[in-house]
Amino acid sequence: MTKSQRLKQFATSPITVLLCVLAGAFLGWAAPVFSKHLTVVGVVYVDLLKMIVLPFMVSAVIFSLQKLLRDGGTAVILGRVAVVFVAFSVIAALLGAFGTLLIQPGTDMSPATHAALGLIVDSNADSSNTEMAFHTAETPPKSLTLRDVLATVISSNIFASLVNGETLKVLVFALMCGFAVGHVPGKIADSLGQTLEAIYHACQALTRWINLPVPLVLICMTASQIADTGLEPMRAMFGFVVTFLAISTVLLILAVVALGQRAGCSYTTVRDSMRGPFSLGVATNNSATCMPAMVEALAEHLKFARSQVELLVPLSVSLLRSGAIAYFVCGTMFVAALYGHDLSAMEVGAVVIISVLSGFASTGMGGITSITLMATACQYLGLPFEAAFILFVAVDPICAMARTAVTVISGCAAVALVCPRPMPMPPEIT
Amino acid sequence: MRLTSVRWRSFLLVILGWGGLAGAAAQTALVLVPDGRLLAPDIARIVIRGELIVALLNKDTPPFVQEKNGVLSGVDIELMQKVAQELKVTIRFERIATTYDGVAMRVAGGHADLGVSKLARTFKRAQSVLFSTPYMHLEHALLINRLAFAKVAGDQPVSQAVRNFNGTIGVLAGSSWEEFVVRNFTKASPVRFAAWDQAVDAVKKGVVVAAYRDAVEVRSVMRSDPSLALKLRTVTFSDLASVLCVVVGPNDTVLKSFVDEVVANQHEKLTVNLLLKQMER
Repeated sequence: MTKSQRLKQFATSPITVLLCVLAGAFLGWAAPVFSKHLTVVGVVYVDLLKMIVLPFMVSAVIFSLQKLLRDGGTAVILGRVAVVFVAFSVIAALLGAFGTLLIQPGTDMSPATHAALGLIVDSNADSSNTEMAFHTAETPPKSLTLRDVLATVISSNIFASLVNGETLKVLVFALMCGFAVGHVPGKIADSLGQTLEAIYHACQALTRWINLPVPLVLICMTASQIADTGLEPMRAMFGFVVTFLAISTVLLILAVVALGQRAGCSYTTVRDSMRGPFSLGVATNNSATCMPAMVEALAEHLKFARSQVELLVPLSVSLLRSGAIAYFVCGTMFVAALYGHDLSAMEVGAVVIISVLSGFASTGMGGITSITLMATACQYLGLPFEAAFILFVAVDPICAMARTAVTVISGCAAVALVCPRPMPMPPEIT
Repeated sequence: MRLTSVRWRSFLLVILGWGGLAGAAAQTALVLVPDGRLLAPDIARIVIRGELIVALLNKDTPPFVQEKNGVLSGVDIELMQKVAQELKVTIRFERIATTYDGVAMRVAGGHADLGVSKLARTFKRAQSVLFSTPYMHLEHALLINRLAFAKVAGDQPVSQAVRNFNGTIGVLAGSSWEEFVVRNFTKASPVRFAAWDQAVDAVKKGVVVAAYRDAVEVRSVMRSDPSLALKLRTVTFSDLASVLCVVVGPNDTVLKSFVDEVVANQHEKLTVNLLLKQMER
């Protein structure tokens, strides 16, 4: 094992990740003023990774679709994608509901905890008071038309979309372009394929290099986030955070089991292969930046067919939001408990369905913006969401880590289920 | 010499009075007071008595009227003290009225010269008393139970749900808010409470969806206990305001202009935030 491999193994080890998060939390708590200056480290790091996302995605999708179309079987794969993605979403939602019912965060809260939560909400003036003109009605929001929906996925100017970082529009372009290139005669398309492959490999190499300082970035990002919010929200929202972390752990274990079954290798191998995507997901809270690491883990370590992995990873990152779905279910049920609303079985079922749909709707959204989608389920139950939103935002530094890790690892598991089983690995030579 | 001149001026004014409308004549006739000033009858009445009688609500309405160790203070008290000072008379506050409308009725019935206690202009009061020019515009506000409101609002945005409010709204009985709630929230069901604290409790328990009053009272509920923010929220209206005025007797037109003058000479502009800060101090 080379020095750089040893360094990478250390940097992406789950224990290192956990220790760095704890060290960052301690630093943020003990030296908040200094820690606030560390925000820049995280911002620069995520920007560096984002820089790679779009060229990586475009080259991977076009290149893989071109090869798949030549080899045949694309329709079968896309059909399986739909089934697996829906199944994964439903499983994440059901597990979220089951875990929340089991632990029941938000019920039997002490008056002191209620008061602490109230103080967190009150610290956001906009949430506790709305100033409005009674006699001047605002123009009602435009109802969403099919044209609006299509406008969110189809780009009229691909260069503008690339400049603006509109991942979903770029993905749709790459898919269409990949289909088109697949129908171009081989001789003409080969040169493009080689260029794309070169870009693709360059992006992967860049990701590997950028991954090395992950522990330092984790400490800086956690410290700056805790310095901003303090530990009080964590204390007051302890029940919810623990519940969501427990649900995330179960989902991660299930994903690793599914990966192990599908790859036909030991769980230790799967665990080691998932170190990269996991630590990157936790460090960046951005699943798109984990794409190169996911492809590397699935294609190079677990030996799934590379051409399919390269196509399916961007699709799973964009469309399959297992972490967000589990979070929506857990969060909505927490809000219900917070306001003393006993949920019937029918209502839990409705929360599961609405959360799955919200998960698909969160495509292209990131971080705090996606939390707002929880309002749909709360609205259905007749629950207020605006105060709870402040609470969710306050603990999002921790929850976003778990959410992204679940989305990334379950995305890998979904890709593994769609891809054909890899050839059995040769026994290791000792 | 001075007396002759005064008599001559009185005579002229009486003649002028006769020259005017017969109904207004009695009011324009000036009265000679012991210190030699010629005053309008409503002002002369107070000066001769040597005391300005001001009707107040028999409950504190901080920061407008509050009593501590037997000493009255507040925005309204300071304003009335300024009126008395300018009239060069002493001041006596009477705290008999149990409702805001009751304060206005004390003045209308001639038991007091002026009435204050965060009194707003209403159509009902305008039929029996005069109002001075406003000394403060106090925005209207709602104290809302988040859970009960979410059920009423459905999928409407907050502002739209407030405009179409069709739930229960608690208001203080015998106050201007009884009139305002009917005027502004036509679809709502008003519930009257004898005291504001009772209305606030009802909102906390979700017995009523909201309570309607001015921004100072509503926001001070949240300021006094920020932990309520999880359960309650407030909405303040930038274009709905209670116009606070001094209540003057129906015939005391000169006294009304005198109070207007005192109000106009106030240098500090009263705002909700200023009053809330005063309350915290």
